[in-house]
Amino acid sequence: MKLPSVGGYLGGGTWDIAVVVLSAVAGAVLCGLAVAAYRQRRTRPYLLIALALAALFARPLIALLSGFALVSEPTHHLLEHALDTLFVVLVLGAVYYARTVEKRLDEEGL
Amino acid sequence: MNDTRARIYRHIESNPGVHFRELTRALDLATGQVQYHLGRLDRITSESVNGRTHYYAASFDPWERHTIAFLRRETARDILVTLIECEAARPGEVAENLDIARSTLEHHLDGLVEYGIIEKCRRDGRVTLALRRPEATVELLARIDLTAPDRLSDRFTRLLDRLFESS
Repeated sequence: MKLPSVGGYLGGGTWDIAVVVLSAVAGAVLCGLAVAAYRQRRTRPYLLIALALAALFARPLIALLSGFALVSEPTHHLLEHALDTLFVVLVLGAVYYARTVEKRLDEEGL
Repeated sequence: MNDTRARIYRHIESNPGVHFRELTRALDLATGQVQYHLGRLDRITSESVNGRTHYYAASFDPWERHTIAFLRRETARDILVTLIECEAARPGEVAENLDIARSTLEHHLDGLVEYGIIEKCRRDGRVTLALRRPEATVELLARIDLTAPDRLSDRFTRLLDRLFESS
């Protein structure tokens, strides 16, 4: 089977595509779980984790766009590094605001 | 009744408290299709609990509907089972017994107390938890099974609760 990635920047192998698709599916599941957690808790740390996992989920999507030559290789790299940075910043934010959640519980005397 | 609509109704009837997404998944129908038929089924009721909508046959009263919604969440279900087993317990004991973060317990208790499923009694200045209607709760518990996505979602939230509490 000839894959459309040939001519793209993904390396052109079937395995490359398979791994990226697997990563996208797993990322979507994880992101879905985080969104469900946020909808139950409705506090900032849960929102930040959901956004961080959305950034993680976006990485294989960008890779796929690059594979189909819709995004150029330099842009692909820049976006991936930007998403990595965003992921780290969002997780750090979630950790920072986690204390606020705990404080709220303390104040309620629980 | 239209065939698809009858299938949706039967699924809700045999799975009280089913989620919207679970309906689309189990019956292999499109979101719009399920929405369309649900809007035209007058023998079902829905209940939104903590941001998730559950569907029921019309035979359940509001207390039963809320209890079923919580029995579909693994942790809330565990909390109810603990209270069925020991009748009354202090919040700290329940959290310890289930090995969950205190915040996880409190998030679930908010709803469980609000809808009259669990009551908080104060004895000697200490809070004790007990079921409001133990027998009815046991009956519903036996009828409701958890689906794999329900369990997965609940465990992920529990994991985040724990991470945030210890950070």
